[in-house]
Amino acid sequence: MSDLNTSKAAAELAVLPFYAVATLAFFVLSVLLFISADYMGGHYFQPKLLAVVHLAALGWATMIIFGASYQLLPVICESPLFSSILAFASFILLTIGVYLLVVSFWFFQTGWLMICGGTFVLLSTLCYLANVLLTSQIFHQYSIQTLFMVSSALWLLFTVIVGLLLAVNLHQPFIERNHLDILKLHAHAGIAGWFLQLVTGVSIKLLPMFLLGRSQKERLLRYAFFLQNCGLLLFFADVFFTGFSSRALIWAALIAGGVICHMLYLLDVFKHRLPKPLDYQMKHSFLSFLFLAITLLVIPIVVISDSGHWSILYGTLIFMGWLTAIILGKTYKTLPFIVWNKHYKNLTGKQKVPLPKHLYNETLVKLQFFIYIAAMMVLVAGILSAVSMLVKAGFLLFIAVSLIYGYGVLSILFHKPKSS
Amino acid sequence: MKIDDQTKISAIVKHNSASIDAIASVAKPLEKLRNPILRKIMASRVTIAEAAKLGGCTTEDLMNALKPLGYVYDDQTQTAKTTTEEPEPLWLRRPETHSRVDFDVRDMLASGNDPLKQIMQRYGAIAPGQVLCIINTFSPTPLIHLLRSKGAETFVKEINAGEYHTFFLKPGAATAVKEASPLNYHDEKSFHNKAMQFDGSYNAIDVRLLEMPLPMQTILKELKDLPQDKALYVYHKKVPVYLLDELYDMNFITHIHEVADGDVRLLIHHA
Repeated sequence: MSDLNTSKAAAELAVLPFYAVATLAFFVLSVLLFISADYMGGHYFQPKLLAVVHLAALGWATMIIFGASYQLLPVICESPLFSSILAFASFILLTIGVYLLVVSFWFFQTGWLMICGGTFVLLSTLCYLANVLLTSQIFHQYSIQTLFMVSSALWLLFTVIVGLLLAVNLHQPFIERNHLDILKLHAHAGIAGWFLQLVTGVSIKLLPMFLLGRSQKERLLRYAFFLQNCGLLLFFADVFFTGFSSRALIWAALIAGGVICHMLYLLDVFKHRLPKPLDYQMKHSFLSFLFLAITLLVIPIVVISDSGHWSILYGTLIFMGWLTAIILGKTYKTLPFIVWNKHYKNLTGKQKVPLPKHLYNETLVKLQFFIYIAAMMVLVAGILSAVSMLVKAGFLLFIAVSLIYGYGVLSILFHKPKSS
Repeated sequence: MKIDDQTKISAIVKHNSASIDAIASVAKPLEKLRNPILRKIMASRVTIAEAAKLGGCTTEDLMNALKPLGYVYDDQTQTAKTTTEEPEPLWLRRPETHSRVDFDVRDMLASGNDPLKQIMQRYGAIAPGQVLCIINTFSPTPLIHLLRSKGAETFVKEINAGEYHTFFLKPGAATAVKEASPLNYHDEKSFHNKAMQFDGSYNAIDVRLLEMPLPMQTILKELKDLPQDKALYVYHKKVPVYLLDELYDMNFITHIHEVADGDVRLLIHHA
């Protein structure tokens, strides 16, 4: 417990900067998407799209996941974070790495700038992995939640290494396989390895907590772990040795089976919850799982049609749908608590204190929810119909969402206790 | 005339004024009935059962005194009332929120003066949320009825045979907002005081050794069956920050006292 108290300020340093920078990234991402909306109709392999995808995946989603993980790992593993300093190092390294990468993709400067960016992200990932392994002590204290946390961090490491190799390959071709096939491996190690397994691990711990429900069906989670990882490994072996083919659908089906097990578990938790109305933070989470389900249904079309805008839709559903929705909701279920702890945890003496949920305006969360739904509907309609104006309108709404979200996050971060 | 436990003294007196002497002879406190002023305010409000309580005698004693005057006791309607000791209400145990005004009326009554006017003046003077304590030789049932009709909460405490303390909590804004803050930190003393308000009527649980999320689930399970006037005392190893919003949504008030690192006490009760 000593680390938690002696370096309380350091513990905040391990979490709060991630939220601040990720929030900024979400706004920049929305603006860049708005600017580059015209590219959304063509092939996905183009500089502007590579830049925004990396900003979405690393600058937005991974950034906030790192911060949230440093906050939640002690909750999930029931032991203090191994090192706040390592966590802060991962923040600095990730921030530098992401923006080097995004800039070099946007202006398509292959070479040392891009490779440097990738290297910084790799170093950041190593810091994160070390913290996850040493905090969870997975070899001493097994739980299915920590298993997901560790496996997702390992997949992130794999993703980043492959990404770095691809960056080198763009500058100095040395990979004998099809660059786009390896790119698919890189992307899916990130999506189905890192993001999916992390969301699974965190959600199976947090949703029971926030819904005040529980499920006895833990075996479903073991099936989920097995299916998600098997599907991914077989996909890798297949693509690496024989190239990408429609066999990918079989491996996708395995992963989808894993997702279904995960969903069945959450459904069981939902059924056994305390009867009370769902708040808008929770509704964001359900929206997120809805987008994940739609994404899985879209996969066969993406594989078979091989046309540009289905791939764009696939990426949009993953990053702007599934991941963004869960972050928009979960931020209000994580950030207020650490800020509350910062101000009110070690109080002594008699005084009245606000509740964590009084640190932000709940009406804004509601507003954010509805504008976000509108943004996604307009955007998806725009991509499917290839009407550039609709796509632009969708991203304009996303800018509005990012501003509301930004206001919410900043008001929590800069919360000042009223002196009584 | 047929009478029962619920028959008003005034009805009996109206029927036959000789009953005044009959009742007054039963017990000393009932002698006040001879005083025309006291009779006026008491008789119309007090029933046989209440008069027996006032006099410290049984309803049978009163009936035996009234029988020679031709009153017939109607057994059928006799309600089997058992006099149980009522527990002190919560509002009486809040020393820091309610200052108390005492008013001893025993001398006034002994000299034959009606203290009602002065009692009402004093009751009018106290602030909402304050408590007026009337010290008397009997339980002043008419006054209780009167002030209850004005919204006061009342409680009678028998100190000994000749001394009754009757407490009146004046209603109003202060009682409504007495615990507006859903979340409160305390030092050792104020937490102790808070806990003392629930003296003997709080359940204590220790969740320090339970694994997540069992502490939260245990607390919620206990709260589900928590009676309105009871509190739950929790030994916790940390402030359960994820639980606080839920407690607020479920209309509970939470008090926190951090004794030391890894030793946090919570007191949770209904708002």
